[in-house]
Amino acid sequence: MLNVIKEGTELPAISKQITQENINNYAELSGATDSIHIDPEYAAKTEFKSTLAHGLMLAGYISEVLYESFGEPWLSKGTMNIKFVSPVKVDEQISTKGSIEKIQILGKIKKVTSTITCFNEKGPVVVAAATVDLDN
Amino acid sequence: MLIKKLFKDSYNFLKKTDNLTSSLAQLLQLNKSDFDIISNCYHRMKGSEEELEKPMIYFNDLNVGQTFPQFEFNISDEIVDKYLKTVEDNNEVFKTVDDKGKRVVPSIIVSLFSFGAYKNFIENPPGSLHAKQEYEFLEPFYVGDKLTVQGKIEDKYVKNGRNFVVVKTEAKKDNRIVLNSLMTLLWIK
Repeated sequence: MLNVIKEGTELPAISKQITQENINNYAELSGATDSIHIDPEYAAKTEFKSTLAHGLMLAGYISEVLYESFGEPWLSKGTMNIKFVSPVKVDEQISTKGSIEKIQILGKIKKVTSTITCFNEKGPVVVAAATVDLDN
Repeated sequence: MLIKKLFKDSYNFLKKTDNLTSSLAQLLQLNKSDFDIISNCYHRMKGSEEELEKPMIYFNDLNVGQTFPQFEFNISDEIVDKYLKTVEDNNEVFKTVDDKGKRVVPSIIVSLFSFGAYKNFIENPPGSLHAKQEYEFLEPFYVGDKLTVQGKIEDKYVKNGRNFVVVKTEAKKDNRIVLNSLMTLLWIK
């Protein structure tokens, strides 16, 4: 968990590689089995030239950063607002990092808003804003 | 809501015979709206080898306010283990049982039924993409939770010449709303 909660505090960063096995597992779990995710032959003929990861699979990375940062309060209640900026291809290395943007004191609650971004080597691929309520 | 089995039987019959007359539609207990859906799917897919398990719905066929059937999502140890492995989340807290005998799970596990809220019942045309997602988590989730999930078409609009569809999903546990979700999809056609 973060030792210091203040605006500008950087959140712990993580890095993961997108594998076809993970994409296939996510497709099976979620029911999102579109060919662009799980069929490399089909995907090779598209503009993307390879299979793509589900954006919501990367939301799992964002959630992991938020839990590492804020602990149990993130599991109790919170919001995530996610934009899928660019497709994420199989075999890409994704780094996820963020920082605290704003802290609002609402009585006994400290509402912390963070911005978290997933990057591939070309730039941002998923951008999220998340709020978590901490005890004031 | 056109049920999957009825769609599949009718669609496959149409593929074999190239003839879905209105009398047969009556026999299969299809109302006009369902008949149109099947007929549209057939004509769009004519000549394609691809099998359709459920109606593929185009942007103009979607109705704002249209509700999909409720379904249950049970958070099991098996699903959680597979999910954690898939996203490579090794946090011990998600692998152990607390002193109340409960195993907490990452709230984002709700992403596993977000698509199902509509994709269990209809298919979007290939090439459709997930543009945005909003979640409001209202309570923690645990292994053993049985969630009742329901989606509906909240909105559809055209922006910069592209079609967008917003699917709103609500999940309840013991009749309490525990999750609100808004999924914005680029509906390719």
